[in-house]
Amino acid sequence: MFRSGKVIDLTAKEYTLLEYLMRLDGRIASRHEIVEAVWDVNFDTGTNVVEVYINFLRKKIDRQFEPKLIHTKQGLGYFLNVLPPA
Amino acid sequence: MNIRRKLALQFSAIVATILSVFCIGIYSLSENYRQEEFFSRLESRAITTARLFVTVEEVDKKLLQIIDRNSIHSLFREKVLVFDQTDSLVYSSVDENQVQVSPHLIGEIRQRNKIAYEENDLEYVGLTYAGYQGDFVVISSAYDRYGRSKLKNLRDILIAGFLVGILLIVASGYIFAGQALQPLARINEEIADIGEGNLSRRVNEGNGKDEIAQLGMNFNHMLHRLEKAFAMQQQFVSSASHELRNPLAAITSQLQMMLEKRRTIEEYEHSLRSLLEDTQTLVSLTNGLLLLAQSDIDKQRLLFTKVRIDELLFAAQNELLKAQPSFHFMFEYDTLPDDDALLLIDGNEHLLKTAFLNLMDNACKFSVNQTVSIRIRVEPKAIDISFTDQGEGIPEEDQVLIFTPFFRGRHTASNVPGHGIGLALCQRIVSFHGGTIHLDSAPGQGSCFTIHLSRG
Repeated sequence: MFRSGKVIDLTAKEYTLLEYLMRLDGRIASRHEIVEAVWDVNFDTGTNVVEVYINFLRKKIDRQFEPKLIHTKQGLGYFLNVLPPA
Repeated sequence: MNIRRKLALQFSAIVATILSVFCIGIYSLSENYRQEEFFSRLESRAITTARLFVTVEEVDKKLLQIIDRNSIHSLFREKVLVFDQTDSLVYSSVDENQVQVSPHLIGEIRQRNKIAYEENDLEYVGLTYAGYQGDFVVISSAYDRYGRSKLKNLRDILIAGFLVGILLIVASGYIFAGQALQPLARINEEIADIGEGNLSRRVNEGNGKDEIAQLGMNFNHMLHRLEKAFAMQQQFVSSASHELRNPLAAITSQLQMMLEKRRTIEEYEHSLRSLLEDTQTLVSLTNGLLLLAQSDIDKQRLLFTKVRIDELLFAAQNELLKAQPSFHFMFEYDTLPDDDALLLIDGNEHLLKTAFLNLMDNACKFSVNQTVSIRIRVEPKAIDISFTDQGEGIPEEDQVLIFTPFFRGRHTASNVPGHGIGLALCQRIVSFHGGTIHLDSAPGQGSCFTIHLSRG
């Protein structure tokens, strides 16, 4: 994985999560949808894996770069997009 | 050469060296002393003669010879010569024809005033004596019969003492070394009698205090561990062969049945499928056994890398889901790890995954709803991973034995597949990584296996 010419090492799950978010093309994915698609967990268990992995992914993809790509929609879920500057 | 002889010989050699240095020292000191003393006697003799000859007018040659020969102090083979300032012999205590003195010697005496030397066992003292017209040279010589015989006597005594002493030392050294080593020889004999057939025998621990008793005790400890390991090995082999025999017997009887008569394609297919299942069981069993046996091998040969614990858990989950789509997994981080480096452990990926697979598989198998809940707890220096099922729980009397190879709980339903090696394997793998595995369970409340792995 490259961003701005820099190599980013992703783990298998981080990659699957990123790929899933990219395929949504900017749509918002709920935590339930993510856990089902990425972790094969077919019922919502109130797990916090999604938070943990979104956090890891943000650190690797967004922390040192602009613009930010991963966004949280409070109460709804997460989405990946290039937002115009507010 | 055995230790006893070596000890005795070394001891004797040391004592012999000391003794001989001592004897030689005594002898040479005595010899020096004898010579010094004799030289001073010769010197006073020479001075007396010279004084009588040179200064006392009344004494002439003849008289002096008589005095010299009859002196009670006269020495054996004594000879006194006096030379005047022209180096010509003016007095001799013996017949003058026998006297042969080189002018060179007289010159040396004049030069050094006094010399003392030994030649052909005779001691000589030469000195100058001041007269009216110049210095006289007096030479006196004699054989130290008394001193030399004393010295010879001393030498004989020393040699005899030395030889007797050495003999005594060799003998006593040999006896003492033998006595000191005797318990060792005894233990040696006892050990030689112990073979794989009588590992329960123990050696005598002596007085329980000294080094040899320590040796005996340590050897007994080793025997104890060996005996235990040997018994475990035997039990392991017999249980393993028992486990291997059942699927093999099933395969054999199926094959025999198939071969009894011609069957339809469907029947062949069906039985081939069943045979495949049986062989797969065998393969997984032998793999497990192999891993169990391998975990005794040295760590050096196993590849240790940085392993992301949660990723490994997800990989194990994927693998299990392929074989058992009905299994459910719930993941939970106890604390939200901010740094993903906190989830890294030095370990062997394949082995750790095997352990996770076994624990997840067990938990799902024994859970009423086929669900395992997995909690990951990150601590500053360690990671705890717990696997909780919703099963019947494990009775307390089974909990102590649960990690023993081939143990299966008495209440384990016979329809739950397994050989009883999974948990034993898990424990070996975890302890291999320097970690611990711990079971919390109560009947009716499910079981929770927790793996504790310390980080670097």
